[in-house]
This record gives sequence, structure tokens and C-alpha cells, in this order.
Amino acid sequence: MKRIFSSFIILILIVSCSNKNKLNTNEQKLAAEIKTEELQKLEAEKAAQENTTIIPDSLPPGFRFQEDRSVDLQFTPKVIDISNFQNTKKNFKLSDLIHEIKYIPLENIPNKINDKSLGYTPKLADNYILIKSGFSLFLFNRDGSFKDVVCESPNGYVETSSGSDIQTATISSLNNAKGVWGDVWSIGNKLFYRYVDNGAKKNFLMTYDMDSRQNPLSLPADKEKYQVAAKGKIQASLGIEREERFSEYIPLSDDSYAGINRKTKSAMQGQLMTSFRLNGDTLTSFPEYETISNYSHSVMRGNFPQFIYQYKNTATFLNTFNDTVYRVIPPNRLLPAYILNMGEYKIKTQEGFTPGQDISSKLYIKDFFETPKYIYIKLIQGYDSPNNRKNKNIKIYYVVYEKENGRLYQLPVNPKGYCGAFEGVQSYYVPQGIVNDIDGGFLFWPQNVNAKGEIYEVVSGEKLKKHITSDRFNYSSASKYEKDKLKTLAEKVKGDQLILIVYK
Amino acid sequence: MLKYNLIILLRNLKKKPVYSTISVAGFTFGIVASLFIWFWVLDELSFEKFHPEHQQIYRVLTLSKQGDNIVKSASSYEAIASTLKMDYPQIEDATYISYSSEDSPLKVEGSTNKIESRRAWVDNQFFNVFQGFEFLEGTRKNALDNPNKIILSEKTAQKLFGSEPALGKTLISDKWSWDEVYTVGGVVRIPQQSHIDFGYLLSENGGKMPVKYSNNWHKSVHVHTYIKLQKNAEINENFKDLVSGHIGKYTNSTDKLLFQPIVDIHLHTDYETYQYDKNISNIKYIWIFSGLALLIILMASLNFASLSAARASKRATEIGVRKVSGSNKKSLVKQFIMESLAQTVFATIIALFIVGLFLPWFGNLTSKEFSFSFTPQLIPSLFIITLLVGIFAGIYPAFYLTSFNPVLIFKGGNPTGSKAGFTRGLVLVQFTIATVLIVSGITVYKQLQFIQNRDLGIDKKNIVVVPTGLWYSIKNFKQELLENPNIISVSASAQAPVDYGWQRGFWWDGIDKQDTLQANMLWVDEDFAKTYNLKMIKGDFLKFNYSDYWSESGKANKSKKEGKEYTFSIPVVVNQTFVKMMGVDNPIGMRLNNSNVIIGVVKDFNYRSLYNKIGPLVLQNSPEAIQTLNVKISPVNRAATLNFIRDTYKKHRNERGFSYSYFEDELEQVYKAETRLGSLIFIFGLVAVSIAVMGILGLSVFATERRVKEIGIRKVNGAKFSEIMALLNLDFIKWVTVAFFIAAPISFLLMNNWLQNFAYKTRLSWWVFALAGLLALGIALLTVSWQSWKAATRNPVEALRYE
Repeated sequence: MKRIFSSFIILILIVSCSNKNKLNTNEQKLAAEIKTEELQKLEAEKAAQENTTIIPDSLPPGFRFQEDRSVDLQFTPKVIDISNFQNTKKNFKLSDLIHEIKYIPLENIPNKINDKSLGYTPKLADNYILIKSGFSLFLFNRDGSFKDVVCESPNGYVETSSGSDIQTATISSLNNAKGVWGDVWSIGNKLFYRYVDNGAKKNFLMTYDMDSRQNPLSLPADKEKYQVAAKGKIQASLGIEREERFSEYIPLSDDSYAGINRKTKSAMQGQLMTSFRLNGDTLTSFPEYETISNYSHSVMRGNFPQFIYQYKNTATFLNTFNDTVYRVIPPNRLLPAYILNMGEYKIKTQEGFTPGQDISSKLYIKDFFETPKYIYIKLIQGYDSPNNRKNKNIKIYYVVYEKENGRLYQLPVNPKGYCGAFEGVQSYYVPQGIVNDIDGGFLFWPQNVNAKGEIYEVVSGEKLKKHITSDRFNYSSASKYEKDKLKTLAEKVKGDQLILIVYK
Repeated sequence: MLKYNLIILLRNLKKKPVYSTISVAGFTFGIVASLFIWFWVLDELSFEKFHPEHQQIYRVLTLSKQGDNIVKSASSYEAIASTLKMDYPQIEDATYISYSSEDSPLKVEGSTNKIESRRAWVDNQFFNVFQGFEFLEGTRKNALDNPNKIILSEKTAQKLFGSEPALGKTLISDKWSWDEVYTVGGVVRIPQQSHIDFGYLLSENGGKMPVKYSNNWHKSVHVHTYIKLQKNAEINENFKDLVSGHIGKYTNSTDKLLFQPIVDIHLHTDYETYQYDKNISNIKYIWIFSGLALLIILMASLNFASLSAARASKRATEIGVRKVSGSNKKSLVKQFIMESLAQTVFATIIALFIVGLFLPWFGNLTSKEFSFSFTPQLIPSLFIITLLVGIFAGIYPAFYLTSFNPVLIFKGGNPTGSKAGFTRGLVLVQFTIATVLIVSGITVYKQLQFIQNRDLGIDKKNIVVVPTGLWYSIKNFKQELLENPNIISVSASAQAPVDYGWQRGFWWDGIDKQDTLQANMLWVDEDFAKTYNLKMIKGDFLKFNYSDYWSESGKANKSKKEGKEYTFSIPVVVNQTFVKMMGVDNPIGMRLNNSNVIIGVVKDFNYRSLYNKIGPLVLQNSPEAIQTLNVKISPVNRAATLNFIRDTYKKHRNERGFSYSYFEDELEQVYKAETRLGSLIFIFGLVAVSIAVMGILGLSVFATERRVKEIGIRKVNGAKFSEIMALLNLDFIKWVTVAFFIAAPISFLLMNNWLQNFAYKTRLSWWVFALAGLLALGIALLTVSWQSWKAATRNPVEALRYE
């Protein structure tokens, strides 16, 4: 009887469990994701549509478009409530934020032009990878195969610090700098970069077609003399003197770009940004409204970043100490996308720059990385100077803003658990971040995000090899399959090989 | 001991033949009904399980935004199969099937016999994933190793070759202006329990218009993708996130992927399946009928228990004697359970004979093929049911009867005490169940009547629907048909307006292009309104100049090739709902999608099943979308008219086979599941009511027998016939009435929930409940009154003779 009863129970269990869906996913969650992404697409399309505002071929001399910072009533800016950042703590695992990690080992840069001591800065374009090293720029396919030298600027203008980790190079003599300067950008397969020859007083905005690589000009023509060769097309001649040049340039569309001043300059001079057409026409001047008056000190505190990035092919801008994240729509619009409510933590421009002003209880933004679903924000409380770091006088908070529900989560990271060294020097080294439960890889905190929202960074093979012997990797809860994949990769790559890590 | 117990059982059965018959018949009825349901449920749960490793096979669904809604569908991007397999080691195999939107002609080389059959394209992984399709001819391995090979379904092979072998034979499809020549690479059997159906399969590279799917990121309702997971694949949340967002990896679409186990397709499909999936049902029917089977078994068991309990006093002396003679409680309990089990086993054997006899009839009723055999599932199931019912039905009387005090029995007291409450409780439960079933039966019938009689806004009578396949120049054929005086009107359309669900987004001046209105689109010609008697509210129905259309269409195609833009406006008619959703007073002259102009508004009509409300509809004439002919004929001399249509069709369209159906029959097909549900509820409801009647009959026999002396004394003392009747009937009426009040809210909730499936539903009127109550009461009264009448008319002398 007992046996029959047990069989009956087993039969019921078999029937009820037989249709279990191993691939069951939360349909509501996916539906919500679709709605969010559709909205973002709509915003991007709208922005792109406005991007393509037809500007007449020739503008009357002295003509400027009137600047427009009005809110789009259909897509009003979202408020990121930093003032309450400590309210919700969440212990994210990497798999909560990221679906996939891709490791792309890069082919070696030809030896004669590869100076490892200069460090490497990656840039992930839609279909290509760019590596900037010193003033040189190298192009790779997305599969890591080497494609071209965009700009070759051999060693001689750069000294390295003793850190010897990648990206620790410091420039000793800017006056003689020749080659790629500042950030590089791309729209589709068109690369925008700045070629600077300080000695020859040259500062050009260049474009380079990454697809065809049929670039008409190599700069300078006399390679033997200058030892520098840059490929591309000169699109615009930028100012060379400090007064006339902007600290950063970013393309706004196929035929327009903007020059943006650092806050230290714009607050003093009253000029925030200017948009130009590639042919040189000035389109719009955007004044700085948070100016500093009666500044009597001879120096300024300056370690406060501003954020200029591309989000879905739209230039986006957050100025130092400012509360508004703008999408820059050519020719004349700064469209508010996010408002940061800093509350009692807000630093006024003047108090921020003035040495000696106490901002130990105030917050400023150190990292601001926007992806389609999240914005990763690093906040610093106090002034981030070498001494304050050494004495642990500052606090560092990591927060993640979830776009879909407008909530801000603080990561449960010790605010004083940072590396004692000054972050400006050891910017690559991330001692804190989110545990990688996908494949047991490195601690995660974004270093770079491209226009598509892909997060990426570059590491050396040596670093990866070292990592797979670490406890963090060995005791990681990641799946054995993924860990084995990473281990195999680490064993396969060479120590001096660069590996681009892409988090999606 | 067993022999002794059996003798006692037989004596008891013989002594009380009415009780015995009622008990056994009740069981038999219960088991027959439950077995029928068991066969049906097992068949329903066995879908797709004929594929080995079916637990690893999933259908890929797409979740996408349509208008303001997020819609789930089986529509797939063509490149999903190849990329999923390439990107994820957890996926062992992936395949797709791409259905043709219409039937295509097929004939044996050298023969004039042409058939129409549904074609589909598959990749060479198809039979690796779906290994359950048995190859009657040819082998799975070599099935589609050549682009010119064709795999026939068993039905198609039979139509073309009869019982002759088909393998290696040459077939020709002349759907287009050229012949496509194929060699039969295999014949497969598509089991009844498959949602996949096709007439014949071609390789993705087959035919003169090969389909290159591996790199095509174009979504299509015709393409369905399936994956097979590795047996021990590690599936974690990260993998699920990754595959859900797979489309975003290759395109900028926001669509997400979902995965449905194939075994769930039959009963758990909660999305539009269009015309490609066959055999889609709903798990709710499994629950409904399993519940019904349980209720019937419960009622049959309760019957037995109540009758046994009722007989308690009659067997009290026997129990007393056995107890005094040394029988302990355990052996008495065993005896009663044995008796119960013996009757159950007997009932089961009879039930098996009945089931065997009526299973083909039941299969016909449910449109299934059942074969009666003692399968490994049936034997233990029957054994368990018989055992459970036997024990359940015997356990109460066993413990109840063996608890009698022998002293009280021999003193002549009433050992049953107040336990009559139990039998009343049973009447209550049985009639509650019976009343719920009567209400359900009436409601289902009422809803079906409502569907059949509802004014759909179109004329559905005497319309013959002829599938024609894509046909660009139907004009001459139409004209020749109209020469027959019995043909009233002829119209061509993409499909008959039975359950048409193809949607498209529309925008017009004044709204954002992103804010499209998702509307159904029906391609019809200018005679459609006349054929289906559609009423125009504003403007005119479609007017069309075919030569203008082709001329403009040619210009547009030429411009497109030259990279220029050229738009021409095609007139459309919209329905009232469309206008309402546009929010305009007069839409005549307004442009839709910059390529259509509204020339008329038609009164709303049901172009979809009544599960759906009438949505916005756009009717457009397009000679490039004609696949169906709608012929309105006179009700007289229908056979001759049909012959005329057939002959004319063959004359004009010899390349295609001829088939037809009546529009009304097609409508009925849509509600086949509900019609079947109605029949089954009616039959099983009848069984349940019969069991309840048997129960109440047994109890009334017992009640009158128990009170026969009382009745005699009352009659001697002058009690009237009506008073005796009231005395015997009132108790039952009281409990049947209470049962009605319990059953009414339960059945209201159940039926109200079921009616929510329909956009257009009948009212759950008060009279349904009143009728059910009256029926239950009437049946109970008739059953009880028969016994009461016998008792009331009996001569009191007979009853009091031995006092």
C-alpha cells in the first residue's frame, strides 16, 4: 500500500515537473527593458533629427545662432537625486549590470613604433578599436587584428613616471608635443582627432576614414625632419594660443564640432563653449553663467573634472560643479537630459576653486559614465589632493543610477578603502569595484564608455596572467565554464600583449 | 476467510438488488467517465513528447513593441537560428521552419493530377532537432542533402502517390511561371501530437528562389525558430540575460527573445499563432476536465459511501452477531473494505468493456484518435483509481458500522443514532456538484448560441470560399462566374474575414510618425462590400482602376531601382473603430502613411473571432495580395452552382487545384474548441447528474423502507396521501435547496471567469440559475417521489402485519 501510494505521489510529481522551463525569463522585466530602450531610441532619433538641422551653406558674416538651453517638454530631464545617495545600498554583482564580457587580444603594434613605457589609452569605435599611446594612434579591427598607424609620433616628447604600469606616462614637455592631442572621437567610421605641433604652432582638427583608410594627407610631409606622420584630412585649423584654443574639442555631427573650455577658464572668461562648422563658420557661442568674480588668489584648485562624452552619437556634456547634463545638439542647443540634485553637498564654483575653502563635507563628481541602462557615478567627498589621500581625509562613494526606475544605489564599498596614492597618477588601478561573478575577472568599475554604451578597458596579458592566479579569481563564484575560458585565454596571450575588455 | 467474505458479500448483494445495482452502476458510470477524461487528458499532455530529447527543445519567441504594447509572438528573425548556435555553446542545435503563406501546387512528373499543399523551408539542422518525425521513406541523414530534394508529409505522399513508394520520384511545382523540379528525398509522418504541420519541406537553398536566411536580420511571421540545448548545459541567469538580448547584439532592434519549451506549446501558448501552428489548446481545459473527472469519481464514491451508511441499520444485527462471535474491529473493517473493493473491481471491469466499446465514439467527439490498449500508463492508473475509490468509498461505512455497540443492537435501540446527518451531507455535496454542472452546461450552450446567432455585421450565409493562391488577374474569371444566374456576387480578397489578424502601423497628418495606430489590414477588391453586405457609413467603397494601379506600380518600382522616391496613393476604406481612434469627425480625403487616401468608412463588422473586440481595420484593394475568392450563391441548386464554379475555375486556373468551403463552416471551425467543450460538459454533466440521481434514489429507497411502519401507523391514523408524500419528500427537498444556494455562487464565479475569454459574451442571466435549480429539484423530486408514492400507496396492513 505504502509503495503504491509512493508511486502515485511520484507520478504526480513527474507530471507536474515535466514541463519545467530551464530558460524561463522574467517577461515583465524584458518588456520594461524594451520600453526603456525604445524611449531611449526615440530620444536619440529625435536628437539625431535635430542634429541634422539644415544649416545654410553660407552664413552672413558675424551671424550666430541664438543659444538654446530650453527643456524638451516631451522628454523632460530626469532628476538624479545625489543628495540622498546614501539612502539605498545595493550589493550589485557584475551579472546584475552586465550580460557579457568579451576579451579581445590585440595584435602587437609593430615593434619599431611601439613604446610600452608610454602607456595605452583605448577608444572603442562602432567597428574599430583605437589605441592611443603617447602622441601616436593605432587602428585595430574589432577582432583585434592590427589595421593601421593613424599617427606615428615616436618617443622623445614624453617621460614616464616610475610606476611603469600602463597609462602612467606623464608629459614633461608640452611645448614640443607633436602628434595626437587630447581625446579622439568617432562618428560611424569617421575618426576625429586633434593633431598638434606645438613647436610649429599647428593645431588641426583631423578626420580619418577608418574604412577606406584612403586619407589624402600625411602630416607633416617631411617625416625625416619631424619624425611624426599623421594620416587624415585637415578639417579645421584650431587656435594655438592659450587664449584662442579650447581645452577639448568634440564632433557634434558630420560637419560640425564644438570647442569646450575647462571650468577654470570659462568661469574666469565667461565663455563655455562654441560650436563650429567644419568649414570654420562659428555657429553659436554658449556663455558660462557660473562665473567667478573678484578672484584674488594667484592659483586655483583644479583637480575637478568635467565630462564630455558621446551617447548614442550625441555629444553630451556635464561641466564642473554644474547640475545639468546637456546633450549638445548642433548648431545651437544644449538640451538638458539630467539634473543632478546635489542638495547640501553642492560645491559652488568659487568655493571649489579657491584654495583653502573647506569642502570636506561637500561632494563632487569624479566619474560619470552613461550606458543605456545605468549611469555609473563616482563621488568624492572633500578635496582629492595627494595629502588628503595619504591622510585618508576624503571619502569615495560609488553609486549606480538605474535609468528605468530613476533610483540611485550606493555600492557597499568602504569610502576610505581607496588606494593611498593620488588617483590622477594611479587612475588605472582600481582597488574598489563590483565583484565579477561572470567569469571571475577583474573588479569592475567603468573606465571608458563608448557612444553605444559599451564599457571597455585595456589590460596587459601580464596583468591577466597574474589575475588568474589570485584568490579573487580562484575563489570566485563565477561558473567553471566561464572561468576556464578566461584561464585558457590568459594562458594563451603573451605578457606584453594588450587585451581589450568589453563589458556589454 | 476470503471465500467466507465473498459469500457474505454475494448474499448481501442478492438480498438488496436495488442497492447493489445502484452502487455498481454508479461506480461504473464514474469510472467510464473518468477513463474517458483520463484518455483525453493523457493525449493532451503527450504533445511533442514523441521527439526524443523533447525536454531540451525550445521554441524561440520574440518580445517586441507594437504601438503602445509589448507583444509576444513566434515570429522570428531569420538569422537567429544560425547565430544562436554559433554564439552559445549551451545550444547544441538550432533550426527554423519558414512557412509559405499559402498552399502551392504540386504534381508528379508526367501526371495531370495536381494537389495543393502547404510548403515550408527548413535548414539542414531541422531533422537533427526534430528527430521524432518518423521517416516512412528515406532517411533523416540524407533527407535534405541536396537543394532539389523535397520531403513530403505522409498525407501529401498519399495524395500524390497513393500506396506507391515516393522516394526518388520527380515532382513539379508550377506555382510561378516556371517549373520547379524536385526529387522526393523522404516521406515523414507528422504525429497527431505535433504543433508543426506542413505539406512538404524544401531545403533553404531549394527551388528557383532560394532563401538565404543565415545572415538575414529580417523579422517574419512565417519563420519559427527552435533550439535544442546541450543535455547538461549550464544555464544560469547570466546566460539567460545574454540570450534574451541576443537580437541587440546584431541589430539596433530592442526586441528580446523568450524561450518556450516545445512541450508547452500545445497548452501554454498565450500569444497569437496565426495560421501556422496546429493543435493549439489551453491548459484550462485540462484543469476543467480533470476537475470534472475528480468530481464524478467523488460523487460515485460518495454514493457508495452514503448507500452503505444507509444500509447500516439493516446490517447492524449481522455486525452485532459477528462481534459477539469474536470478530475484532480490524477484521470487520477489512471485510467492509473488501466488499467495497470487490464492487469497485467489478465496476471497473464493466467500465473497461464500456470504454472499449465507446472509445471510437469519444474520439470522434473530441477529434482525437484514441486506441484502447493496456498501456504501461493505463494499468497502474486504473489500479490506483480502483483502489483509491474502493478504499475511499468503503472506509467510512467500514469504520462507522464496526463502531456499533452490540448490546445496543440486541436491545433493539437505534445504533445509527443521528448519523443520518452524513447521508444528508452527501445529498448536499452531490446536488451542489450537479447544479454547478447544470449551470455550466446551460451557460456554455447559451454562449455558443450567442456566438452563432450574433449579428457579425456581415452576411455569412451562402458564401463559398475558394482558396486560389496568389492570382494577379482574376477579373475574367469573376466575370464568367457572374454569368451564372445562381451566382449573386463574386469578390476576391487575401482571405475570408474569418479570423484575420495581420496588423500594420498607420500614421496620418497631425500625429507623430512614432505614434502609429496598429490596425488590421484586409486586402479586398471592389466587390467585397456587396458580397458580404457591408454597410457604408460615409463615402464610397473601394473603387479601383486596375490599369492605373499597374501603371503607377511600375513607375514606383522603376523609381525605387533608380534610388528616387515615387509615391502613389491607393484608396482605402476604414471601419468606424478606426475613425474613432483617429479622433476625427470626417476622415474622407485624409492620407494614411502618405501612401493611402481614405475614401470611405464602413460600419464595424466582426472580421475576427468573437474572442476579440472589433479593432481598427483598413480595407485596401491590392491585386498583388489576392489569394481567396468569395462567391455569394443562391440557396437553390447549390450542387450545380458549385460544379459550375469548379469547372470555371479549372478553365481559368488549371495550374492550381480546386477546393472550397462555406464561410459559415469556416466560422464554426473557429469555435470548434468551445463546441467540443460544450458537448463534453453536456455529456459529463449528464453522467454527474445520473450519478446524483442514483444516489438520491438509493437514499430514498432506504428512507422509505426505514419508515415503512411509521407510514403504516400514520395512514391507519388517518394521514392523507399528500401528507405522507410531504413527510418523505420534504427532507430531500430541503437539502437540494440548500445545495442550490451553495452551487449558485460557485457556478457564477466559474462561468463568469470562463466568459472573460470572449470579447462578446452572453449574459449570465438569473434564469440560468433558476432553471438549473428547478432541474435539480425536479430530478430530485421525481426520483424521490417515485419511492414516496410507492410507500404512500402501500397497504398499511402489509407494513404492520408483524407488529
